[in-house]
Amino acid sequence: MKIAVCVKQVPSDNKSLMDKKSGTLIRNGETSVINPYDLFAVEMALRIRERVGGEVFAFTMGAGSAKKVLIDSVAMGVDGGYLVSDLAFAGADVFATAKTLSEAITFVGGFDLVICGRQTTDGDTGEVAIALATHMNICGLPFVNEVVEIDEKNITASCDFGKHNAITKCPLPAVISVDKDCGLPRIPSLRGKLSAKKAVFPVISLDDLFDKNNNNYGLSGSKTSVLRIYNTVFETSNNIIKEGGLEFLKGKFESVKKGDL
Amino acid sequence: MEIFQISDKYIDYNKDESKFVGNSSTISFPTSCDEVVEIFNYIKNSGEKITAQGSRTGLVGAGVGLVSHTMSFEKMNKILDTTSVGEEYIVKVQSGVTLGQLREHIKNINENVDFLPNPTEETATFGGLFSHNAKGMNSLKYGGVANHINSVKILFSNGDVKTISCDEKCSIASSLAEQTTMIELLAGSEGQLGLILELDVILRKTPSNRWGVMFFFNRVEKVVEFKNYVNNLLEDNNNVDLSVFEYYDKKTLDIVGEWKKTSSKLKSIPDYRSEFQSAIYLEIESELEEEIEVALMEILDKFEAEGGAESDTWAGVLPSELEKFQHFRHAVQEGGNSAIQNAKNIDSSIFKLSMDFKLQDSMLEDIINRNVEILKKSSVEYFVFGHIGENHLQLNLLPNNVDEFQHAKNILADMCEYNIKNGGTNFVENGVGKTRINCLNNVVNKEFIDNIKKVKEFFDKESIFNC
Repeated sequence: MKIAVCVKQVPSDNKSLMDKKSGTLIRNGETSVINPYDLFAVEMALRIRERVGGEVFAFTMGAGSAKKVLIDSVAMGVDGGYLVSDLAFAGADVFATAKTLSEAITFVGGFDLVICGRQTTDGDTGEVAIALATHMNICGLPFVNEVVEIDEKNITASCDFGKHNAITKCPLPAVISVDKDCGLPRIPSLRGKLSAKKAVFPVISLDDLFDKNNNNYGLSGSKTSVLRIYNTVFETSNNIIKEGGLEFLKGKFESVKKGDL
Repeated sequence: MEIFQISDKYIDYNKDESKFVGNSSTISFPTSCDEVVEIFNYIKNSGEKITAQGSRTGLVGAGVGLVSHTMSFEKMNKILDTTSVGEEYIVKVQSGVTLGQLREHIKNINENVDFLPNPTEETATFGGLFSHNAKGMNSLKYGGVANHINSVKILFSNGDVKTISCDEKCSIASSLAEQTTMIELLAGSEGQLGLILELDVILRKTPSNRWGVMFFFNRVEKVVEFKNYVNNLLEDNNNVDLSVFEYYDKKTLDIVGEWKKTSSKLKSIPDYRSEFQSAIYLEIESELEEEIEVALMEILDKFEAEGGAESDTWAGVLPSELEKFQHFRHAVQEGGNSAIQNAKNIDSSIFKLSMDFKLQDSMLEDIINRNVEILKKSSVEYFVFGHIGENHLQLNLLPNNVDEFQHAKNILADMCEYNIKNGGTNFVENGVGKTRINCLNNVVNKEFIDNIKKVKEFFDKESIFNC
């Protein structure tokens, strides 16, 4: 089985700056890490490979510094990786990101399964996997927490939809996004870590893609634009209940039971 | 000046992480040097004793008062000043400042410096760390906390407050074999010689490259050979330093595995196979990354040649990756303390008994290969871990009931005696405190004990501190 796993470089903290004009993140490779959710995607890919055999390749879209997340993926045991990089890809939203990745994965070709993390810690949309499936015109399963069965033709997975789990079977090729409870990411082995540093990653640019129209990529190919960016302020307050405390707690208890809280 | 009776509200201040329970009747929480002096004078004039206490993370009950007054330094928690000296920084802290507090402070100073000895307990105070001359995993390279202290402000029993710098000598100190400076003498004295008020902590440049690797062993008898190989390989290599070289036995791995189920700090550490018989963790540092990689490849080859599987290794480079291994190490103590809790629930007088030993090679091999008769004959569960690179291991006994607890005390005393007979030394780290005192008399030579008494009398003639 040939598996593609999509990984992204994200800021390691929440102090990254936004470009006020474009509404995009100003990325600094020095303080960036692999998206924590993508580690679970890599882990899932490796477990499927251990189950049914095959190869796993990581794809990342970004500047040259994004190569670091490919190194991290190879250190964990991925067979190789591709850096999808071109100025034309910069500033992409969900739609344009998925378009670019779908073109790159199609360019390499032969993949049975594409795995993404549930979401990223910078964009936080959680929509790229399904947009990718749409661009590739194949089945997409979001929020997978367990792969129940997989063979060369089909995948059956449990998808977490909050209150309900849905066991869904779909034909391959397919795209899945995986949740954090699908299995703890492994710590790289020593040889994995050493050899990853020497790995060479082919770069896929606009010229390599089937669709070479740069208006379909990056900022100009995006369907959404950022109007305003602001930091979320979490407000907490301590309410002291002097009277009727028991009734208050009973009310809260009932709300919890009903699932309102 | 406020002094409180120790009632239910303060009852936890009469015990520490070892679960040893003391019996102080009063407690105070000074916030400044002046308040410490004021309370000290009052207690001294009342003819009472004083036990200095940090954040109660100690493992031997040294900060737990047996009688009279406990002075808690937890509110002496201010970072007072930071100055740069070349590539280094000096941070002046009150003695109740914790390691975690300093770490947060360092983030705002310079990301290329650190408090290099790395005792893993973030909530430990600097007063406590200094009083035990605590060592981190990396003591092989960086030594104890005292090596990273520039000066100490201390209140002596005669009421004098003095600032002692790191190169200051004293007559009593120079008459002792190994301890020649005042700082070396005061460090590790477990609050017996004075009350630590403030410390100047040295932050030094961090190494450019650091790798951490865990090796899991399926066969315990391969461990010592592997250890000797690594030591020999790196001994002659001037370009790389081995800073951490730790050993965990099977029981230790089991304890961490159990603790991992409930610890949020360990949630990113994957499960490891229960068949592993032991593990070794090492960290290598260098200014030249390639040198580290070459050395690690050779070590990996040796590991595989001895039957180890490459997949049974974990490696990390980034601080966030190395932090996982540090959390693992710290979980050994926490898990061990938790493991004794069931027995303690049955009888509160039971606590974990532990001792650290500096071992001769043959004894090290015997302990790791589980060939020590004293332990083989015992039914009390135990676990062993520690700085294998320095032949310095810690034995921890986990009695299940009062009978086993009494038996465990004898085992510990027997082990101390056995180690001395085999050319080793005891009490290398973590102190003697109150939990190990019964092991002291028979296993440390008389001259050493006489020297300690001499020092105590010199600094604290009236035996005010920590008695």
